[in-house]
Amino acid sequence: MSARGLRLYLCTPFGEEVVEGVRHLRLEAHDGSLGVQPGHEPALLGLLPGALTLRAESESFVGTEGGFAWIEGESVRVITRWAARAESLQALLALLETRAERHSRLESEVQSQLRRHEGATQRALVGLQRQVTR
Amino acid sequence: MDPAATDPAPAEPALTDPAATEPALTEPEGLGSAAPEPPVSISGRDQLLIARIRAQEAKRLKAEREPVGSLWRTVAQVGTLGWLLALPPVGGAFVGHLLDMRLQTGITWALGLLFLGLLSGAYFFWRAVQEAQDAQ
Repeated sequence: MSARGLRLYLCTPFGEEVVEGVRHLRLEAHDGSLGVQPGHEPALLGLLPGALTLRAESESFVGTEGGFAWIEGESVRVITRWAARAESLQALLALLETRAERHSRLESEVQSQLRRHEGATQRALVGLQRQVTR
Repeated sequence: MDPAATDPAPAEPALTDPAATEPALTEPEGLGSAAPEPPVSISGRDQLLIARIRAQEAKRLKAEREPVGSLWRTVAQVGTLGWLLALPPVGGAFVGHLLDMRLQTGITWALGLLFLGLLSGAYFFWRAVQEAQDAQ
């Protein structure tokens, strides 16, 4: 068991962050909740969407959209589509709600643009049909 | 971690996420029987994540309110401690009484083994309490 603790890599398409000196990590995997300490057996786990709990100098939480955790030696790689770290679950929830609002706004913008484009395409098609049948 | 480090920026094309817009790939035959997960919208994924973290928070708050555990767990712990404390002196006294009857020694063995049982019961009790505290 290493005195320095685990090294946690948070790998997302937007970048990678390393957290050093993790003494304990709790993962929410498809097989259930799993605690990881330095010296854990190598494993590859499928993660559920949710928060990982990690204890380094202080306790903090990492929200992920699921993904994979690869435990090997003194390192844990969490490979996920999105991750954000916060000092408390409430802070993480606030972050997620802001993000969900932004996504919802973007989705509705895209849908209204899509509807406009569909209308324009249909109008163009009707115009073409008229030209053809004339 | 700064959320901006991994959180897509507002200008980032969040709605071009392949999983959200493309149909789920079908698994080649013979590589497993698990059906692919149905595609979920970005809002749906956000709501799922928020719901799961809320559930984790509720579980955590409940655990903080009830550090000892459930009623049955407490009863089981108390029961175990009670047996640890009571069995050695009773057993000692019983064995001592049998020895006294066989050796015609009055109550010497019974008293001696009763005190020995009391001491060992107290030791077992103390050790069990220490283990329970370490586990917590």
